[in-house]
Amino acid sequence: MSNKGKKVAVLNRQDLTAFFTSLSKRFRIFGPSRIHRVDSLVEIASADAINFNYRNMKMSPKAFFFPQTQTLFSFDNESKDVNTSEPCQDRQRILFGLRPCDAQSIWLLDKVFVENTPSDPYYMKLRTSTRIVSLACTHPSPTCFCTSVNCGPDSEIGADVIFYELNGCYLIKTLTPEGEDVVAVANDIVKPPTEKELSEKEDIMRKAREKMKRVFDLECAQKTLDNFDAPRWARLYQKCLGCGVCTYLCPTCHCFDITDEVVQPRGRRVRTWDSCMYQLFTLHASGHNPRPTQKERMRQRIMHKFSYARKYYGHAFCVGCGRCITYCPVNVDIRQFMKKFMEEK
Amino acid sequence: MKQAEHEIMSNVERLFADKKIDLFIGYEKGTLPLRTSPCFIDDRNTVRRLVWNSCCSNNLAVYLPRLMLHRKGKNSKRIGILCKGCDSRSVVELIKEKQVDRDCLYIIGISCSGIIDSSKILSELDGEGILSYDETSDSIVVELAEGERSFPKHEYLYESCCNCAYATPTVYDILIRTVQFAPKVAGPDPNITAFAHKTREERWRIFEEETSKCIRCYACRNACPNCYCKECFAEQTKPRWIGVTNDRSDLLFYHTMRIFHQAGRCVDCGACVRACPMNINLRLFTRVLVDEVKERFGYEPGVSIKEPPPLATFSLNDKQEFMTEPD
Repeated sequence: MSNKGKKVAVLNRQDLTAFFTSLSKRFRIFGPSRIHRVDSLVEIASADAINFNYRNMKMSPKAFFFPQTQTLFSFDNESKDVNTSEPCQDRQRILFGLRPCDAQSIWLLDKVFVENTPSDPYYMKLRTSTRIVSLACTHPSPTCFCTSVNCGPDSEIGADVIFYELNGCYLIKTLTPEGEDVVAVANDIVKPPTEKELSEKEDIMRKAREKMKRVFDLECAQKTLDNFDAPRWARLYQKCLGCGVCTYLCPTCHCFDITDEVVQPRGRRVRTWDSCMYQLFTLHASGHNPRPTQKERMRQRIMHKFSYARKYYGHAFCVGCGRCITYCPVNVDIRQFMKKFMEEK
Repeated sequence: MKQAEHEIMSNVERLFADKKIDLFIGYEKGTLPLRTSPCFIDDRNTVRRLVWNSCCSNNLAVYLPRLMLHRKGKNSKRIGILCKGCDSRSVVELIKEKQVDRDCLYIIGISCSGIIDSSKILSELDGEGILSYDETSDSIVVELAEGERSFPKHEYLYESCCNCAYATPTVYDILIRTVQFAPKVAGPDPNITAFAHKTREERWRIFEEETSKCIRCYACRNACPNCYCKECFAEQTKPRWIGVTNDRSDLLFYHTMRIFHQAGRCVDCGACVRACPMNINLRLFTRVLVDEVKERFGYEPGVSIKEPPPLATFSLNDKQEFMTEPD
């Protein structure tokens, strides 16, 4: 990775508290913290609350921009009032310490909700008030496969600022103008990096990358997957239970449902997460279901991530975070699935 | 363990050779340490994939209703299935509820010594990579970068396995016996008893707290053999029973309904808890129902195919102290 045009600075570990104190004057800060033995992204009051040693959080950060339940507007049939005003984001937020895969997933979601026309105003409101500070990965989990999907433990895509943890200090790289505001609060406590620190960072990241095996090649995968009627689809889906764990924990899955909740005379229109793995997802009012069995649903999920998304957006909608692998109740492993798919007929 | 695994394989091979079955549902090695994965064998050459160990956590009966739907009337061969005690009890309930035809099944029963909750071991290792693992008769041995670590099995069982009274399947065509590593004390689960004795307000508080973690992924429902409805009340739109949000009221309603639908049917296999990605202790609530049904109706689900389900029959001896006269 080149450092050209990107500002790099070093913050001593003992100055972290001061950094957060000045940061919290301007921003609400959300960071990784361990609550009931689960690593979660929560609002933090001071640097001490942050757990820097986490692998990754159970829930992806997508709910910060695309909440599981979101009221689009409310209405009153008696007074004929329609209320579209969403509570405003009162202060700018910082999501601190996201893993690079999760930061990259937000960049992918932006393609859907921001770069598409028209863009999604609900997503935009939450997105534009948020800055992303990522924390490079030094200890990937056994389920991580980011290097197979054009991401990596030091991917800088999607982040405004990235922190590299070195021995006793952090190397901070500012990646966007929005990121400059974040680092600006620490202008008087950071110092320029030494050659030694820069090479230490390269060393640490090389080791992290080496820990990860490339499990499949996206280009090959797409070619094989595009065989829509391959008989192997019928074999590989069988164990899938049809629950939504993989899609709800996935940082890039973004399907939703819109329903009206009405208790006369008032009601609201609400957007909720939905999953292509559910039987009812494609059920027509006529009773016909174009994806009648789990085979078609599983195929849709895999194809959307690794084929359709590459065609529409130019990128696979998978960042290799491994959540779907860790939490699948029946151990459907997307890495193994892709491998088997490419091997079998 | 290895002995049992060989017995399973040779039996399944024979069943395919004799053309008795055309599909066998068992377990294969998982892709993660301390995990296995359900596997579907449809030809005798792949029988070697089958495994049996203390990590065979899924309740395989969950696959039967959907498989039966696609086979009705057109297949003379049976489906083979490996059943632990709890899986077999689920099969019994499915037979009684007319979801599965006993004659379409070939059940290989296996006596089970309890299943290991791998998350307990993994959380103690705190993300440290497991290079390999093995098990002896009474412990799980894990190889780490800095050496071996041993975990006594009886300390790492799933809660639902700790006081299980049905280690031996209640229905089977052949039974594979394995050695029990520790004599189990079948009986009430102290955690459940403690919960049941709390005040109503306290129980409600725990119920609210647990269900508030829910993300409506329906893993609990889909992992449960009892949940075979073609359209679940939680997603029905005509009529619409509940909303689809993860607001508190929808979560409470979803879980209340799901749990009550288990009354007199739940075999306490723990599949819902094992499937839940959010670590909700769902069993806390269903197990109380299991105990209440047993106390009131003397009925335990999945024990006998002949005994009618308590909510589908009545007896003059049924307790009815909850009946009240109109004012």
